[in-house]
Amino acid sequence: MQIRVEKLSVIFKELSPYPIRTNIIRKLNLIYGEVYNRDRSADKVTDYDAEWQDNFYVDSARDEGRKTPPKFTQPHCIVRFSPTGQLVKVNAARVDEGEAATFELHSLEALTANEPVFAPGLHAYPGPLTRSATPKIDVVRYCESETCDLNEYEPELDRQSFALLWDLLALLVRSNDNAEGHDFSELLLGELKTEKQSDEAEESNLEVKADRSVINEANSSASLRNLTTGRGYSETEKVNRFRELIQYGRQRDALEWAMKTGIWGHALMLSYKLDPTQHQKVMSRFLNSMSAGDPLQTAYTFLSGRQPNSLSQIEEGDLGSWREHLAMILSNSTQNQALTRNVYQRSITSLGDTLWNRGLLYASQFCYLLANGVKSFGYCNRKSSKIVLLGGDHTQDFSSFATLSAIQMTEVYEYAISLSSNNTSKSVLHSFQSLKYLYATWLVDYGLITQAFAYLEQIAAVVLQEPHQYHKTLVSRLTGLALRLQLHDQQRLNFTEEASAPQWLERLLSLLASDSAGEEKPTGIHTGAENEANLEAPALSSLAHAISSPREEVNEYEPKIDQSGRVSFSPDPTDSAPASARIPSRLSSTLSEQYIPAPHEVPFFKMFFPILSDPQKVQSEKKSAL
Amino acid sequence: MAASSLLANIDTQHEDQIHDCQFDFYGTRLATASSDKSIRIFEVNGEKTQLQTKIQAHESAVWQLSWADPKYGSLLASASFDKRVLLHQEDANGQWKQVFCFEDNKTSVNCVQFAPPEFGLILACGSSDGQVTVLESKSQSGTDWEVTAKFSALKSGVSSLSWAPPAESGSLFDEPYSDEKKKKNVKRLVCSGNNSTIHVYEEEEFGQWKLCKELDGHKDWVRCVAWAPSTGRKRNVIASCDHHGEVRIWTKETGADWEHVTLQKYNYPIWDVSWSVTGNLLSVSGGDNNVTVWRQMADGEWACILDQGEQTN
Repeated sequence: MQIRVEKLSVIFKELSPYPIRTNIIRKLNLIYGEVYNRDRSADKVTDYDAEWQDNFYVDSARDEGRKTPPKFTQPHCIVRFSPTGQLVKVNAARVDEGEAATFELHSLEALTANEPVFAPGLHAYPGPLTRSATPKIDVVRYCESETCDLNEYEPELDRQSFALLWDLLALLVRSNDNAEGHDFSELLLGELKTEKQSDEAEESNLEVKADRSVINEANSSASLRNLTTGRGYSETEKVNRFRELIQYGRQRDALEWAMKTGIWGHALMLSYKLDPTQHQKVMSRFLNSMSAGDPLQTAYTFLSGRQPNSLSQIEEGDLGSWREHLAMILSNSTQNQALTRNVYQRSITSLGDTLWNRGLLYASQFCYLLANGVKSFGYCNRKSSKIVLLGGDHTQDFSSFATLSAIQMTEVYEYAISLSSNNTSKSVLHSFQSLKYLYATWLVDYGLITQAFAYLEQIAAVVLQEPHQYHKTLVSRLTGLALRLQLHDQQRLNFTEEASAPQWLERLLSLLASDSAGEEKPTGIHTGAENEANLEAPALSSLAHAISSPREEVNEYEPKIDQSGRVSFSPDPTDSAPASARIPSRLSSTLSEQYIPAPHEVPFFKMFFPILSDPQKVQSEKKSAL
Repeated sequence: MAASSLLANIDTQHEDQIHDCQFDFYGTRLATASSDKSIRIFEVNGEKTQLQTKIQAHESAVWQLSWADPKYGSLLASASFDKRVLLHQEDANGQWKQVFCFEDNKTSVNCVQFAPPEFGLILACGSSDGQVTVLESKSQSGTDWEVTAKFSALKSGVSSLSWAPPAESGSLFDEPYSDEKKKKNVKRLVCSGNNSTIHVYEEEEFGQWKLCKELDGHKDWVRCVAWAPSTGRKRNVIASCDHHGEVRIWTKETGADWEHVTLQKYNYPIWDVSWSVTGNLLSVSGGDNNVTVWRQMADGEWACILDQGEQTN
């Protein structure tokens, strides 16, 4: 019947001029009721302007003569994102020409797998890193792979530091955050040795020439000895004079002589025995006599309890030398712990600052990590934060700072410190949790829903330990996203299986509810309608409200066949699960007045709406129902 | 799109063009609206996606659908050429019933959308005579609705509207302040019109909506406008597309004014722009089955991460 009408109308379309055509079609509609025909100027694919004026929908008699332009006149495709990593595409089909109106369901993960910027990093990373679930070897391997994968845009020197930072993270993971100073030094110097070997070959040629010239000079100026400056004397002659001066009781002069001529051993020995002030003087002069930039000077200064100057005076041409200085401090920091601890922190921090001012981001972060560890981390909007993300410069624009690799790097560090056997409560990066949430949203974008959900669980675990430390927005968004994603794997499960909302999600919801219980209500007529039994619903707690209000449960489900031919299953009527996880099917209908009815027929749906956050009330309701 | 990513190809059996499809909150159901006056709800389950319900309640083409937040139950709103907005609700037995009919519009209702649940059970609809109506269900049951505001937005007709996500108290990435003042959560709407403008409205006081910004620049009928879900950073992003083929992204940082960027200029009309749940991805669909997905990169530029070119029809 329908087909015949359509064919007729097609014929009319072709033969008749417009006004007559519509009249006939209209009459056909009146005769045959449901079917209507739309006038389509199918050939005018490119002429989009003013098309709608010619195409009026002629529906039922009610709409006869409508002049309103229809919203759509042409087939058009629609794309929507599902919260659980799928994409639906409704094809633009010419249905009245016989094409089927179809839609395609795509997996977002498969679609985006070839995207070059984010996808490789997201897929390769073994996150979320948890102490219990992630094997160390995976993390170490990941760190090692990152050192091979260096960013080409960084300045050369910092590229090495980038690799160094990853090496540091690998070391921390391997050692369970228990590495000693000399371990770090090895790391720092390891690369330098290979560099030096290649340089040494070049230098040795120059040195030979230099030596020769000195010898020549010495020979020629044997007669030009200078008593004031001490030049021109041989070692033994210097000591002889020193001895002489002491024999004559001229200790001060002897010391002066010794310092001038550089026979420091004797100078230090004598001054040590004479008096402490003298000794200090000798020591300082000794230090000053060393060439600036000599790591030995750094070591001695540090061991004396002072911050070495070299750390704040790195020469432009010698930026790589920071590693040697740092290695000196690290290797010598274990002696005299009490004395050097403070200096240690200050020194390394100031080295970090110097490097940062010179633009060496990774190098500076390496220093900050060693100086203060977790305490170096802070928030983006605080100027005093040394690090917000490892590998990211928080003074930059947010998008260029919060990069994939920076977040991953920081997570590895978080993992490393979590392995440490002591101080577990202090090893939390508060500011990082929001950025981990951001990472989780990226995982959702690229279809990696299971991983994203695992990340949300991780973040929740940390946040729930100290909720007041975190931004309210983080808690509410975390909960919101988790609520949306929680059915992501239900689609693969057989519908008969029942699942409960994860514990951590319920705890977050009750946290939200209790948080906003004291907040002011927003304006709106709905506020007047709330009664006591309802949870208050100011803006932030609405999610909690959503979940805490149970659905009206029909006491009995009969298995029935719905339109699509599936049989729905009844929940177990004797179910008396604890209030926290599932709504028993016998939940009293007295609650229903306040709450919105209609759960989905599939049993597992109701599992995601745990009981009111007020357990006592539930218990009493349950008792009255049962 | 690569064949390997395809999970299912479902024939909806609609007898005419599909005009809208919307996932519900959890992504387990998909509702489609068509010119054949029906709404079909599918259960999304990978290859086993199948039709669940068919709702035949309108008298002409259904233009748009909107799902309410699940805390209000399974509630679906539909806007149609027959000048009505219908609310459908699923009861305990899985049966869908029409629970409300809003008939005050004088012309085709082109768009309907539920407000973010933080504001309550509220929806807005826009029609071809340029009227935007905001309705609220006082009892939050979805069965009794009251018009809280009705204003004339765009003289030439409203083609699409979108609610702003509720304002957050601070950037997600900043330090939490213990004495944060709770800002008033203001409702905002963006509407696009057939006269190439986009209007942003704000509810200053209950029931009083004011035009707070007019976004100009499109050269043709603005087909669709979509306010991005909040990403946690303190800024607002709106995407819009027009019949001429231009797609624009309007961004407003806190304290600054709206700025726009032309994402792309196509030479066919763009029908629809749609944001992902996280607010990071934007899908643009236009012409004949041309679909692209965009994402903002680290340098602030928008890049196309998926491109599905013209398919043969």
